[in-house]
Amino acid sequence: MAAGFREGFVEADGFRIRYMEAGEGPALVHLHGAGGLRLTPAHELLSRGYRVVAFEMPGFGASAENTRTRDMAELAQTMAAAAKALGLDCFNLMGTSFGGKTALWLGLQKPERVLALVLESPAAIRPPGAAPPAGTPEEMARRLFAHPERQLPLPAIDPQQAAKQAAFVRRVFGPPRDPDLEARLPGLAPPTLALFGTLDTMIPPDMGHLYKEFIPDCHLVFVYDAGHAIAAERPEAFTEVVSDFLDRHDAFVVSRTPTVIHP
Amino acid sequence: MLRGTTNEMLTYDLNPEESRERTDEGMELILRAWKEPQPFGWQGRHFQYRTVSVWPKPLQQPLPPMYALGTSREASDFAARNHIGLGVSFGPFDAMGKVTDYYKDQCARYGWEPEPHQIIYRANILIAATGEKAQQALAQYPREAVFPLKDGVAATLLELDQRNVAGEGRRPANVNRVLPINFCGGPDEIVAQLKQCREQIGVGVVDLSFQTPGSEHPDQLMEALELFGKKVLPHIRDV
Repeated sequence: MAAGFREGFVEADGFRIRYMEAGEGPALVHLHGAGGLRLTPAHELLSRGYRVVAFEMPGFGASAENTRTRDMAELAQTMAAAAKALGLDCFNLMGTSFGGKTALWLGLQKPERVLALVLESPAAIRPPGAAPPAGTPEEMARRLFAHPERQLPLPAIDPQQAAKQAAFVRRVFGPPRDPDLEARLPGLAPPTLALFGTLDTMIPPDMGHLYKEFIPDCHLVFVYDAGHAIAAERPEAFTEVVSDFLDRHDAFVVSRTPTVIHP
Repeated sequence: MLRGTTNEMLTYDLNPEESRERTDEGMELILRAWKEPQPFGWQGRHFQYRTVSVWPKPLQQPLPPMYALGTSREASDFAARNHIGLGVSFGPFDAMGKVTDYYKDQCARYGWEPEPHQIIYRANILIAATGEKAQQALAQYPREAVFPLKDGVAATLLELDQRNVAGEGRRPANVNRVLPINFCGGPDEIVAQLKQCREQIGVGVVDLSFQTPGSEHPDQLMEALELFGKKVLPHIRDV
């Protein structure tokens, strides 16, 4: 667990939703990938400048099986309600993989509440036949990381919990190309940053440009030498670019690196 | 995308221990810049750019033939992963054959098979009218670089740049010596050596240097080129 994070629960939309929170400053809400909530060193780094709230979406972790949420749009509504219940009227929003699609829906539904949107290896547009990682922790690590040997071993996950999560994801995720979502993306208002690992074998980085084509105010950044789990593999690099974007939005492309003459 | 001699560490003021990493990342960035249809950012280990915008893009699609140069496992892996060719240079045929075998194995791992034209062998050639004359020229061939490095510089580079030769293990970098002659003889011997090179390394492209380091005699070079053109080239298709 990342240092300084405390566990909490919030009632929203008829669900009891777990979250991990740390830090002070502008709010940054994080929605996890299909494997569930797993804090990375990047959470801790981001919590130095932001109030980071990492939700565990209903149906993941130890929560009850979620048979009520019908699709990603509904899941986004639930997560918007969860943020509201924590008093977060406006917040930065970060979605990882599966959570990236949820975050896109939330940004479309509540543009006035989302200050900026960060998509880490978003799985809203997937290659045909792509499936979330499954199997033993070692097999999962080989799909998530470019360099699994540099990571701590993934914790073994209870088979019943894994099956529950996988069934939920299968049911609500939608097709690899979701015409309903893609038709709405040109109207996405919050400034958006999409990040792809150059060695991601689950969502190929070659798909990154599609987000720029669909979303009017979208920046695309490739994180070199990272696989699907960018924040886990290159936490400092991830945090640097994400923080800069959250602070300055479009202007983050303009360097403010201090120099000898202009310190 | 060719680089690799130790002198480059001095020219560009690079830490040799970072050389491979910087080269790998630089090649990845160039390939990405050619492929991406829109501007993008690059959050690298050695290079960070918020906006990379290459214009105009290469007109040729698919992209022009590309090669990574190197005898290391990493170079072979990079070339195989990116479906590009491999260039090897100056090593003996058997050692370079092990490198290209390793490269082909890696290509198979990524689900493709390189064609002969995707393997380049860069080499030095010393050709003369007869084998005896070629051996005489070889005996007079310079043994040291034109501007040799100071002993301390050479020793430091040797210590830092121990090359990891794919399929063979490690060997010292070629520091301060003139690169070896790989083809030597009269025209018939050269043809035989090219055939051996083709069989052992599997190359489809041979990139030959006819120039003797430090030579100030262009006539000698022109004679070698003419001999090669008239006596060797007509037999290349048989190789």
